[in-house]
Amino acid sequence: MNPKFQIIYDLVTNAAELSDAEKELLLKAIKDADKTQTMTEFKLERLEKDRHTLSVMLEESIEDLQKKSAAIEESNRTLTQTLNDLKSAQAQLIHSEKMASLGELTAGIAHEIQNPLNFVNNFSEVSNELLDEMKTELDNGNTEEAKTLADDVKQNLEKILHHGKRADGIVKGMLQHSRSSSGVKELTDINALADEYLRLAYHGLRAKDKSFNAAMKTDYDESIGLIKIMPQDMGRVILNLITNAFYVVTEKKKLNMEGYEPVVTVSTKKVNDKIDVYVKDNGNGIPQKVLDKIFQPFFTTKPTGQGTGLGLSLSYDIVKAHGGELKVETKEGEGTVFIISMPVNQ
Amino acid sequence: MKAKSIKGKNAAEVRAALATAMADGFKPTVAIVFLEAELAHEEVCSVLSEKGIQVFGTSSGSNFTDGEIETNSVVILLLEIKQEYFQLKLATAGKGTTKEIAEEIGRAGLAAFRKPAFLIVSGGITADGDEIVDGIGNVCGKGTTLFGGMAADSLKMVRTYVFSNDGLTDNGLIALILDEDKISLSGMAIGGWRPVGIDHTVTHSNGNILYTIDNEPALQFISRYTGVKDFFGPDISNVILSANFQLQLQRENKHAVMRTPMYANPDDHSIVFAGSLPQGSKIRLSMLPGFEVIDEALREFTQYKNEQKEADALIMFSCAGRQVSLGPFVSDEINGIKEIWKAPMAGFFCFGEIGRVEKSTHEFHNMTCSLAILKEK
Repeated sequence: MNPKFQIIYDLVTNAAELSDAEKELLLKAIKDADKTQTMTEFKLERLEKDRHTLSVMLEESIEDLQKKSAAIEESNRTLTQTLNDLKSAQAQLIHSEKMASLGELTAGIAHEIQNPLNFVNNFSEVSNELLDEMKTELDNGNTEEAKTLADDVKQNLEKILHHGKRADGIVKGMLQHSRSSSGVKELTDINALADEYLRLAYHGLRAKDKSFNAAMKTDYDESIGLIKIMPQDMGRVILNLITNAFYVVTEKKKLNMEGYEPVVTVSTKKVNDKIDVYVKDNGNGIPQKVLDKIFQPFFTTKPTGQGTGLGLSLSYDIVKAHGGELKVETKEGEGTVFIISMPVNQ
Repeated sequence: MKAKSIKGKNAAEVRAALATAMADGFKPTVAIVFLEAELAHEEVCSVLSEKGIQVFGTSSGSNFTDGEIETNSVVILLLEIKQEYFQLKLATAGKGTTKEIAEEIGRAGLAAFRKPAFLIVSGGITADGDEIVDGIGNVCGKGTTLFGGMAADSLKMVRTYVFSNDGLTDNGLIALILDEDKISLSGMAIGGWRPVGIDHTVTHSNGNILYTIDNEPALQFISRYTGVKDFFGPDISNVILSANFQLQLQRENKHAVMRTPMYANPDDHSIVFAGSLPQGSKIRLSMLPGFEVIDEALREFTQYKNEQKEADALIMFSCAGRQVSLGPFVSDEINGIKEIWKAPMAGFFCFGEIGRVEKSTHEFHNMTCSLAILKEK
């Protein structure tokens, strides 16, 4: 007991003037007060110890947090740098993919340009001859004949201009394909776009491999009219799907299966407020384990060096950017159809 | 099983209390004796031997039969258990390790009973309680029922011992091996200490001797946190214990366990803990809980009563560090627990407890209040 309480306790114990009941009451009160004081002192002592330890811990925690904060900042810097590097690498890869698809188109483009060039050459030669004839007629004073010949030359020049423009259009298209997308949607005839890339892809493959052959079927929904899309980007998607389709039917053809005729079908359809573009092949279909990965970047089933593995991944992103969906339906052994499904009013 | 607790300041008082306890025909066969380390154990043993009572004895500091903490006294829990339901074994380590003698006790338990349960106390202030758990677990399986603790000596850290009617050892174990098919030994340990601050690493240790934390000498580390400067005064042990420096050992896929410093070594400034601190392990400092920890402990024990509804006797191993940390409030905890089962109880403030936390297996703890409940089936 606290010595001061003990004095009071002893005084009360020996106080003759107090009754036993009063003493008992007082002694209990003194004991309770002593206990309360002991506990309070103990609590204070503990608080003092805690205060010291907590202050050290607080300092330590602040120091630790500062270290962690510096480490996070450093990691952040590294991550930002890595992210920039990745973005740069991604841009380069996308460019490579574009160039790769352009390469696939080159032969087709050459074939397409050759036709108007033939016209230009032929009509130029014919016009040259006509002008010689016209000079002779003029020398002979046959003005009417000369005029008729001049009309023919004029018609030829119009045809030369027409085919020249056609070649110009093809070259512009090629350049457009290689350029970055303007990001601006333009009113586009999706049927014409699909048809153009179907022919370019076909002739491209034919030019590279004379043995290549596949039937092309088309079924365009003329009610679609013009829709607002980014033509370079969407053209790239369609070309990619068609090139893949030709690839798989060619691979199947190599198996020499009896009665197999490779067919690639491109069709369009307007369904309510959606436009669907179908690229269908009668190849071997896509196995389920491959199907799960086809839209992953860098995934390819083509031999090394023949595919970047970015075609479908980029196509997927482009269609999504148009607010649409790129879907695939496949049946092993029977073929695959890729469906670009876009809203009409984007 | 009948049980009664008695206490006294010396052998004469024990003799008188024993006579009173046995006056109604009560015939104890075992006495769990917690004896203030400086009292003469032989005299107490002699009193009990006269009545044919087998002694499971340990040196203690403060001890108790209820919330009144006794000093310079002996408290005894008398148990009337049939001779065929138990065996008592005092084993001295000699040149062997604590783990080896624990294994020896484990083998004795398996030889005696189909399903043995163990109450074990270790003497010797450098003993590592984890070795007892490992030893019994190695022989009898990890799920074997095991309660107990480490003998104490009023925080003097000079000599702790265990004893039976046959002798005493300050380098060995005393074990009460029970036939668990006949007597159930259950219970739980409650801690309540909360880890605070950042993780630290044990960079140099050997068993329960800690040399460095985060490459800083352990004693310097403690000094920094506690503000205590002189660890080598006349009463080293009190300084280090009263500094209230508790560590929580983090373990992979297991709950953390508390580790309490026992004393500092002036030669190399290492610190001996009551349990092992493996080199490389992660530790966190633990703050003294608020006094509400007692209410929480009582709530948990009350809940546990739904599982273990009845008790013939209660044995409490409460950490000496807990007594230091909770001060006068520790009585509330002891009284509260006794009231839950309303059974005879004896206990002491030990240097480490073996018990079960929540649903885990029995492990070696510090800073807990570990209760062992005896009930004849």
